[in-house]
Amino acid sequence: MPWWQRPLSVFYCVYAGICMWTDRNMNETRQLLKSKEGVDFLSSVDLLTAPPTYLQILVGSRLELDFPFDVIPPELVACGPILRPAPSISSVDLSTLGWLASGPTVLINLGTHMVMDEALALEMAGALRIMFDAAYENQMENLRVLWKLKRPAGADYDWDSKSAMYQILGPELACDRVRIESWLAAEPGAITESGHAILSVNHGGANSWNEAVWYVHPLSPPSPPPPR
Amino acid sequence: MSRPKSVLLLTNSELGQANVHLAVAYSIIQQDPTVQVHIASFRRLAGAVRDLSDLAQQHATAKEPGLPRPIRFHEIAGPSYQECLMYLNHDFYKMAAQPPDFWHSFSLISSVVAAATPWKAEEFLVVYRDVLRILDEIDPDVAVVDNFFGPGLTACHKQRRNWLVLSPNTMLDYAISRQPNAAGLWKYPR
Repeated sequence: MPWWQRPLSVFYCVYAGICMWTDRNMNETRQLLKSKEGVDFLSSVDLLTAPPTYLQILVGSRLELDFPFDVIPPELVACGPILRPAPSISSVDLSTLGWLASGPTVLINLGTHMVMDEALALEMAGALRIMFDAAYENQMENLRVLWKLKRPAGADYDWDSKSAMYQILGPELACDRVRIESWLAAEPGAITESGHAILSVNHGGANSWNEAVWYVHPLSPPSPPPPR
Repeated sequence: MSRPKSVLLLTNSELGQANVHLAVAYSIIQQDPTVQVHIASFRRLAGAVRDLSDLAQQHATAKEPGLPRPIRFHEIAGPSYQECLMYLNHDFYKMAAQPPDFWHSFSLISSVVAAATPWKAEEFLVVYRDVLRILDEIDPDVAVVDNFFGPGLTACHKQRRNWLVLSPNTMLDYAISRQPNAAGLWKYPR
């Protein structure tokens, strides 16, 4: 961390400590467990600060994928990415698999809880426009995007030919190189696992990140054009 | 006939936490189909457990009559983690979408801390007691507990049974407080 941000980091940590110390649910739960059950509360925060000495803690990470540490607690067991298996995409959605196999694909899935109103969706579309334009300059004419987009309940925006989205991504929507879906038959993990993704755009949650690390195969940089 | 070896996984029902438990359940069944795998969680995970059990049985290579055993799901009474979180902060997701600048950091930090134990004390007690019931009923050879499932952590610690924690998160969370020179306060971005 840059040296000029370190005092701020300490300040935030102290503030977090005060929040923990004064957290109502945590304090009342601790008291109630002691009085009614004669039991010491072991919270998720206690695991971070003072875990029981006999306890092993398994994490879905590896040293190579994590920050560097001077001390690694002996009770910590780094298992590497732990990925839930899902039915293969070939068994639930052959049509999408066929589409994925036709060219390098960018997968966009920002998680169950990321709901995009039209303004935000158009921002994303604008970013994809920049990406597509750069791809075409680099001879990647067949780039495609599979975008799982969750709209708020009652949202009335769409991506048909009359929509604002179409104004931005019309050429790609028209030739089926951008697919925007609110629901996919195959699970996100199965889509990533198909091996046809070159880029995963996700919300950075551990599962999504590990799936991307494991299954997404970035393209090698394209060879530079020969000198004239 | 002697009792088969048993593993009980105790987890919150949100897939962000439960996914690693489901993955481990699947893996245990593939490696040793004689083990009886139990998963205890809130009701909304039942469907995912059933689907995973079916998938594990489909993929199992060593098939004998009755093996591998289906995963047994045990519903835990009481409100789930997410139900309690929504009660604490109805606009949790809107709050989480705020930019992480200086002024928003205070509400973000206090929300993250509150999310460590979203159950009110009485709700926690209901869940905790039901976890004890499930533990006593199954008496597993090993229990695996979600790092964010406080009632499970407390119950297994109280019983001092053979148990461990399984977290989908990174080493950073658990290593940070043990770094020398208080490096956890100033060295790592969070």
